Amino acid sequence: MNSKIKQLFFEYYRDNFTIDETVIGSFRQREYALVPFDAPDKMVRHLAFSEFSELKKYILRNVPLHLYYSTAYYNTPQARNMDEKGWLGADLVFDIDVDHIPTKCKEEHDTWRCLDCNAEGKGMPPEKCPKCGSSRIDKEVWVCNKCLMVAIDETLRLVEEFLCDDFGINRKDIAVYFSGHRGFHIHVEDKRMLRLDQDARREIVDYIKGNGIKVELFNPLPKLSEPGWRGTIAQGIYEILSMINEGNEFIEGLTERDIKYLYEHRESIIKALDDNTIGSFRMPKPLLRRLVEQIVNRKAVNIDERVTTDIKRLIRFPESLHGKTGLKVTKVDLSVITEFDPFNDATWLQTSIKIKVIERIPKLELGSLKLDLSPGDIVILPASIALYIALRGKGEMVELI
Amino acid sequence: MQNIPFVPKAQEYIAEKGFTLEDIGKEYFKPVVNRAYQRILDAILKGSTKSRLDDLDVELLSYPVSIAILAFIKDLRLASRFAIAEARRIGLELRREHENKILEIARSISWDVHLVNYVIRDELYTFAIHFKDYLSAPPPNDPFWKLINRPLINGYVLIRKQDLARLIEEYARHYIYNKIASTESVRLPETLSDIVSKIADTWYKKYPREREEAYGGGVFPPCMRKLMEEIKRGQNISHMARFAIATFLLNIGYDVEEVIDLFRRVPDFNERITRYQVEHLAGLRGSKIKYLPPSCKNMKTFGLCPGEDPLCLKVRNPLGYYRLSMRRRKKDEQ
Repeated sequence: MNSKIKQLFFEYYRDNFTIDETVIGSFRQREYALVPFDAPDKMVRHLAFSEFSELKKYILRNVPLHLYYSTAYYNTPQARNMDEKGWLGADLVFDIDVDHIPTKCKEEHDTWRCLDCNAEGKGMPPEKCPKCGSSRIDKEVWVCNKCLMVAIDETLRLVEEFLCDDFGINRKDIAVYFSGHRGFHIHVEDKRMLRLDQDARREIVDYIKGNGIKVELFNPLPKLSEPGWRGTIAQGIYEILSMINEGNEFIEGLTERDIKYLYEHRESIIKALDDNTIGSFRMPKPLLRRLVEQIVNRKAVNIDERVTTDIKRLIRFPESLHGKTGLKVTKVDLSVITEFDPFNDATWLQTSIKIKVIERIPKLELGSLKLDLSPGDIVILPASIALYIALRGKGEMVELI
Repeated sequence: MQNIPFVPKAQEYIAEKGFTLEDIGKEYFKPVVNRAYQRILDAILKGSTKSRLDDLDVELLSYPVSIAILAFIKDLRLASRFAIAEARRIGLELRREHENKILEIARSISWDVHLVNYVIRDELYTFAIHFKDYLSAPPPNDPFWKLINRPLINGYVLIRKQDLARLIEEYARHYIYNKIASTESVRLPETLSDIVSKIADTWYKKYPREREEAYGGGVFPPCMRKLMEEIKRGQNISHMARFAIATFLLNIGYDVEEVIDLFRRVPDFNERITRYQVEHLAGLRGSKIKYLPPSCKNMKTFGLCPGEDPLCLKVRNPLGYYRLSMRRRKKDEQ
């Protein structure tokens, strides 16, 4: 069974695995790493290659379940010790992963179980078991259309509103990859960013996640067209006022009195936000705090800060396969990202596979398919979905069709 | 000519003079050495220095001589004190300069800065600096300087004249400190030994080496005493050990600077990383939670407990030991 999957992976790497040489700049200065198919608990690190064809030769002999490269550039990437590697710089990377974003549909398809007391639940796994406090939590998470839409929305906002508008990064220096699972990796290859240290990268993360915003600075209220977060907060207040004006009586994070206050003062507030008037307005501080908090929640982008602040990070290799899903780390054009369907667009398999379901699978929407399978079912599925189920250990591949 | 050590013009000027460490000992160099002495003394006693432009040669040459003397003494707390004082002087002088002059200096250290004219809420922003440079030397832990609280357009942070002066000041502090810390094996001429010992005396009188009495006097638990000694010997202690000693000291009233100073002795010391971490532990960053040292149980797990003394048996955390022993000591004193 496992050998069938391994054969599929091997054939992919042999026949379909190519990258444009420019995709990974300074190929020789990167570290490469992989998790071998035959030893999934092992990470083989500190590999170095002078060009892509050399790497390809290597992986055809050692088929990887996962394949990575370093966002960092090193003098001696093959050195085993970080100090000896000689850090030269690192790309700026962002990770948007639904694992870190609460979505409603997780209640339907994600489950967790405490390895110590066997407590279990649905939805986003807690950091610690609510029953016994253990942090040894086993989770089972699934890709689904709705989750992916959330990730797509965050990715678009990250690139357009933050990276391009605020940080002035050129669109051609930004590459977006489907991560192979439940999110996207955004790579910025801009020479000016290479030497940013961890502290500097943390400041960028804080900016994007809305951490550490100082509420007092928004009194008196900013104008709509002001740069950065000031304008964003002004626009947010404007949007909330519009909602109230349309008769919304409930707005998350605000009290009834807040809404009444905003309604009563709406005219002077709007005047204060308007760029063309000299109006000025000071908001009571507790209300301003709640407003800013709400707006930050809506406008910030939920990136995984560990990925961005780590200047020696390994990240998935473009066009490699994700060993938990069989999906390809695929470059995605932002103009069509909203149409992205991983089981169609991130696979090389065009065939179907007959599969026998051996364990319960939650009801899922994958691409155009609605799955509702029970143990014992034998079904013919698009090969990408069958491979996904097999890699999750929930089914056995019977034959390729 | 700017009295700013990292400006290329000043560097070229000094290089052209082409003096050596031997020259420093010569009689004709006396005014320069005296000026260097005065600069260091001002830093120690007043925390700030002042330019003396009556003899520019003396003023400019006294800087590298100060660095040589401080590199010879190699007390990194003193280095830090001097760097702060000199940086402060530079910051103050810059604030009085014309915008074009400040711009020239910022560009001479390869910063991507432009003159702009932007008014937001009655505040005039005269410079736009690329965020990569803005983030290279931000003044520490002030929410006002956090990128998120700054107008950022198209990669550029809008700042005022005094902000750019402040950023250069911070750059100067790092530059001067690193210069002293990275200058190895300086051999000063014999004639300077008098000045060196005067500086050392003044410094240690004002800032005694350690709080010896506290940790030597038995109020520290054995584990923390041991860690203090290891650090002082310049040993490379584990991450967990660093966490333990730092949280302990912060909780008994050491301030962030004192803890950072202590870590200057560890071989892989990196000021920015240490500062970040210590500030984090002190609750000044991130989660804003002040961390407690590990419990005795955890100290044992990590192999950091050198064995208990009788007082240890009464407590569950190294902090408890300290509080108990301080209470006993107070009682004894009464």
